[in-house]
Amino acid sequence: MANHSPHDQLCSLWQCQTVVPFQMSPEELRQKMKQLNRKLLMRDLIVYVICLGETVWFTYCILTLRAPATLKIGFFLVILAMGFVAGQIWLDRNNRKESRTTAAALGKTGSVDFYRVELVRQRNFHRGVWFWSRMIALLPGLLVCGIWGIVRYPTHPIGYVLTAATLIISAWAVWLNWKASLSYQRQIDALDALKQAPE
Amino acid sequence: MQERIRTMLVPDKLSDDLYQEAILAHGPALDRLARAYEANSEDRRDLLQEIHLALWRSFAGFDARCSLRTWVYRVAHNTAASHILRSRRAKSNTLVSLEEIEEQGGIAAKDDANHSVDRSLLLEQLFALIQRLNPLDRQVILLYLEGMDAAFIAEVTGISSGYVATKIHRVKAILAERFRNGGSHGQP
Repeated sequence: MANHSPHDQLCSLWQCQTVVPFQMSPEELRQKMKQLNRKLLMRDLIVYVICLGETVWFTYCILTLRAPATLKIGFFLVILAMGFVAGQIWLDRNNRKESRTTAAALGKTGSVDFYRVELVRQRNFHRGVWFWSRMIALLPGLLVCGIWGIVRYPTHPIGYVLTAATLIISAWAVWLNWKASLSYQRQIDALDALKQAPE
Repeated sequence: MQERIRTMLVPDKLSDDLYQEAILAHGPALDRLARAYEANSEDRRDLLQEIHLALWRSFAGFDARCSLRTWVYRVAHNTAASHILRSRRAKSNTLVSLEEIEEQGGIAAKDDANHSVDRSLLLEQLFALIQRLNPLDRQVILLYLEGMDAAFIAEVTGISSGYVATKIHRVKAILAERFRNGGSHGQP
């Protein structure tokens, strides 16, 4: 070794770790790619099936149940929410397909820019249009059903429980997401400061 | 000329060839990178497979505007950074910057700094230090340990080389304080 400084020795120690050679054959890579696609497809299908199941159930309730119009409006809003969730999954799937064709971005983008994009994506998931649209889609149906329960059966706890649970869970979700978005924003700000650092 | 021939090849074949070339030259560095991100051997293997897959897919768009080495390191580090963001464990742990570690005066060594530290313990402590860092600082320290210079680290990360030099200075200060005895014992 030409240089025996502690730093160089640490670097040498790092580079001389015993590594088990790892390589994937082209067939393995293609197989892995197929597995990954299948896994993503299955995940999406499960959500689609849940949305479809709920839609069928609430449609059945609307058509056959002798319930007042308010409750049926609540059911209808829940169906719309399920459609919205399924739509978001479909859009996300399309975005993923697009990202597969631009996998080269991983090699073309420096780490700071790449990491920032990922952080912004995560932050937006927790706040802004995406987050509030999910809330707005899911809340009205549940609230209408809960309020109908209170009006129709004022002495029965079901309406109060459903309304309270909807409001508490919503407030909790807003707080958790707001906290997460702040954490991502702090990291984004740190990266922006880093990019503005003098040469 | 070589690049021209490359672009004339069938994309899949091109990706396969570039992948083989990249793994031959940088495979061990990718393995070390995965170790630095995941302590658990199964998670590490998953991450390593993810990096290999990302690398192979990325070569369909390799335009030779940067060196193969830069491309490989960018893909590997960007994939690992994504992995960290998705990881539930990483979300529950607070990752810190080099500056924060420096302010804390390094991390207390597990054993007395006056005792000689064997290589495996030294590496273990080095991994523990790296795994506490946020993705960007982790990249800087890993590239530094791989023997890369400030200009190359700047090319991979996208930070100015001047700022990378400052970061490396911090890395050296932290490593010197943390491993002041271990380094001199750790013969490769």
